[in-house]
Amino acid sequence: MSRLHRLLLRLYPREFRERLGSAMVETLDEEQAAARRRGTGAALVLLLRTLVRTPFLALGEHLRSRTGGSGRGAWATDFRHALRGLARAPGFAMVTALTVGLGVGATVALYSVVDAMLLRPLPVLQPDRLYRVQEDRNRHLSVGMEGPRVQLERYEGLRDALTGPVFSGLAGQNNRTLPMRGEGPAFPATAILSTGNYFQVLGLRPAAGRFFTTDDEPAVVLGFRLWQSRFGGSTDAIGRTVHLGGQPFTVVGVAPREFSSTIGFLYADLWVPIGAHEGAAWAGARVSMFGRLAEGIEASVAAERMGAVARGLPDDDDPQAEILGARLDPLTPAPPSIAGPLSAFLAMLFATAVLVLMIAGANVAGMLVARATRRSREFAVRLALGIGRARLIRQSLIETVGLFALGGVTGIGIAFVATGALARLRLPTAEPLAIEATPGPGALALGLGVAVLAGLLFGWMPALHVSRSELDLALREGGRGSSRGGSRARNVFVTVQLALSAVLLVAATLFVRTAHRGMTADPGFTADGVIVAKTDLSPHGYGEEEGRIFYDRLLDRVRAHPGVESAALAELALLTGESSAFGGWRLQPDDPALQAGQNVVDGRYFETLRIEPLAGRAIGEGDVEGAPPVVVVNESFARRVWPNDNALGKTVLRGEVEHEVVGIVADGHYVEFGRETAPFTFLSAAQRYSSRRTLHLRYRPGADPAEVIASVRREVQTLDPDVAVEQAIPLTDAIGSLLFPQRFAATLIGVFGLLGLFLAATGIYGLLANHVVQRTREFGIRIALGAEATGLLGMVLRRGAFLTLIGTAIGLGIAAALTRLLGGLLHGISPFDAVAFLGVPVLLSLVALLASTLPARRVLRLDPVDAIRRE
Amino acid sequence: MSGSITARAEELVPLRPPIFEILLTLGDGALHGYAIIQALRDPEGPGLRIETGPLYRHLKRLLEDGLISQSDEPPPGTPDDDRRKAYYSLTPLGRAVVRTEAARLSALVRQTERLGLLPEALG
Repeated sequence: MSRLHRLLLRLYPREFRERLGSAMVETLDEEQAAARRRGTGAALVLLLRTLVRTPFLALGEHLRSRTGGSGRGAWATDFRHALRGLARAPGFAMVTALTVGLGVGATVALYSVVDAMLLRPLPVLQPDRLYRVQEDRNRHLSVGMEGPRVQLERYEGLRDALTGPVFSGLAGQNNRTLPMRGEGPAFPATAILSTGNYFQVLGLRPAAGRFFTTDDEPAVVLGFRLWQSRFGGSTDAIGRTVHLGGQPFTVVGVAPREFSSTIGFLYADLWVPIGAHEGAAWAGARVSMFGRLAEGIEASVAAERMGAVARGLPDDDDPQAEILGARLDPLTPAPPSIAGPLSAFLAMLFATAVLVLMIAGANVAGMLVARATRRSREFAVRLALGIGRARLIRQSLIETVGLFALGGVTGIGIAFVATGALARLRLPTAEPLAIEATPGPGALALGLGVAVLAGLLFGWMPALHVSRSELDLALREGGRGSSRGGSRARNVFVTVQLALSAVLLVAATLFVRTAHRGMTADPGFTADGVIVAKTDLSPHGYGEEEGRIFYDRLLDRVRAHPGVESAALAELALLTGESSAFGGWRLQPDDPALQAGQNVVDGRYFETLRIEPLAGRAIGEGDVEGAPPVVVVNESFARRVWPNDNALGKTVLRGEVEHEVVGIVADGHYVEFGRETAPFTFLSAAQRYSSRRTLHLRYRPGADPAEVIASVRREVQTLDPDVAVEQAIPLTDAIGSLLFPQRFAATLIGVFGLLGLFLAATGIYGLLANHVVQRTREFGIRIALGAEATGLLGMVLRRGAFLTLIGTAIGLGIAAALTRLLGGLLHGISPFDAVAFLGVPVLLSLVALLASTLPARRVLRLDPVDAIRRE
Repeated sequence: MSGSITARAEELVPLRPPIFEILLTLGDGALHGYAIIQALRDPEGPGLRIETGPLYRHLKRLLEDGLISQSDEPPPGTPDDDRRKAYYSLTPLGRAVVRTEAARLSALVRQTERLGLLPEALG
């Protein structure tokens, strides 16, 4: 025990140890012995207290100056001194603050995104009492992004049985993109179809007007953004009539600005009662549920009670389903299906931001050590004048922490700019997403906190360096200073920077390569030169007959456009992340079904997308209703169903309908990257009507795609002004959105990596430049004695090369350990990708060489006489 | 000399709470560190729980301010097998400070009494 106490005592300043140390150890021993006599527990408690308290007490002794006392006056003096020191070197202060600021800014911005997407509760009344409610059953017929959905009648049964004792309110909702028309042309609006009690359950207040309260009122509540953008934010909007899917609705109110929706990050344009208008386009829509717990009831109890009710409620929709109970999950902005992968993704980005911060910290620490070395003489003089070493340390720490705090403020500014840019970023997804990630108080506190913490962490090294200033040496050396401790510390910092930069660059390279491979890989069709435009006729009361006529006329019109080479209709655009329908296929009615992805296409689709069948033919114009049903399958499908036989000409069952395999296409990336061996099928659109179609247009080389897009919109409007065109964009852009996470990560980590590389390069440069200056005299003597300047140059370069080698090796080691975690995001690229693991060291070496050459060249220009004379 | 001690003592009061108690424990003569802790803990005395680390922080300040002195000479009558490394005792300045502080405190007590705010048991 005594040994431990002696060890703890070493934390104290030497002067304290010499005067009181042995007595204090003795007393600590005695105190501990007395506690042990009282019992093991008491002894343990005392030991823990001693262990925790002693470092702080020791730190206090360090900070307390021997000469100046510890009064507030001394602190104020030191503070002023630090400020004066920084004011004398404004360039240094600015560079430092900016360096730290970049690191802190990255951290704060990403924290704000995490906060907005995962941590911040919904802006509603008592969000902790709100729960996502679902039945626990062996199968769900419909699952939305926010959870499973049930038929409206079932929701009503559950609501009526549970409101009061279990929930103070239970609401249901669904979401659709509905064409909305006020004065101008129709545009697709993101609509929440909700039960009448939706707003009341959430406990919201309207920003203007009122909310609807019944399920069947033909009323619409506008989202704040839509109100601002389309109605100028004027209260005149209240009472106006708008058309949704061709049916009239009265604007009754506006939702609060901060409320986007309860479904993910969907920023709703409007809310409509789900039962408004008999026979509305969304009649029969299922709903997902959320509820507010009744006073005093726990979520687990509520789930149990609801489970009992649900089991007793026969399901007409799916009589075979087995209802096991009910589940309640807190109603958070991120639905459970998204929260997991999203938090992993954001955690990765957050980790890279922290890496940047650490590189910046190491860089600044290096600069501070260099500065301290240059100021050795100043310190020596002050020591000689009788100022305590502890006081010098304290001043140095105040200066460093002050610098980092300044960096923190800069970083917060940078974070505001970055998150502002992020909010303006239009994610290329089907629905508009809301990422309102303005840094909140938590993020700001985090920014200042990490800045000060980093200051303390990295400030110790320069501070200790100050305290080690050897008085006589520094004075004799004329203030150039050559403390070994200083240059060793800087070596460490430069190595750390290089290692961390290597980690970032490897990760960035992997993402860039994934995104690039996705963009360049042959997906099995030619997306280049194709424009896709989606329309959905179901909200407009079109039956099958009218729908077919509409689409035929639309095709005729767009094909007449001089810029269009060919046009085709399909259910969906391949490889765009659209939830592709899966169909079950079997050879015999009792076989287990093979699930295969599918697209329903017309007779010109293969031609438009330039898909060449390997065998047989494509879906053709002759595959009409009434003709024998046909299917084109990919190789994987053929292999799986007829492993030893030619699939062509065989028949296969879809439900009860026999389909003949008329063609086989190569395996391609039809659904997502890295899933090219999944079975996939193409069915004839003429044999399977759907009101929802994606128009595919191949424009002629030289035609202006923007003009083609405009003409599509024009044609649709001419045919029916109520029909909205969603997302008329080049197919390559739509495919690009599937790689959005990879591209986002590649961009962000790439920027971080380059930032880190730049910082590391300045670190090496600074280190070697300092090194050369310090040894100028020595070099001069060597040259005078006949040494070759090139040999000396080599000496300097070797030093840089050595650090680069060590730093890079460490960095690659860390990267190899970490990249395995990225596997899920890398398609077709190994986590140990040779390009990344060989390219990054080469890049780092080149940059390091460049950074070393500049200072080393000074050796060549050295005039020996001048160098020796220099003092 | 004694005049300057009094003047210096005046400067050092009021004392922060545990300081006065620590000085008081040394009123009867020199004590070693653990004895001070025990004396402070005495329910008949200050009844103050203080641990070694904080105690030595205070001792350091008191030594620097010249209120106590440190010696390896045990007080007379200490058995040879019970010797400690260091003993602390009041310096003349320390005694002066204790007296000054006591005078200040008793003046406060008298004033409290005049105002009728003193608890019955003490009055």
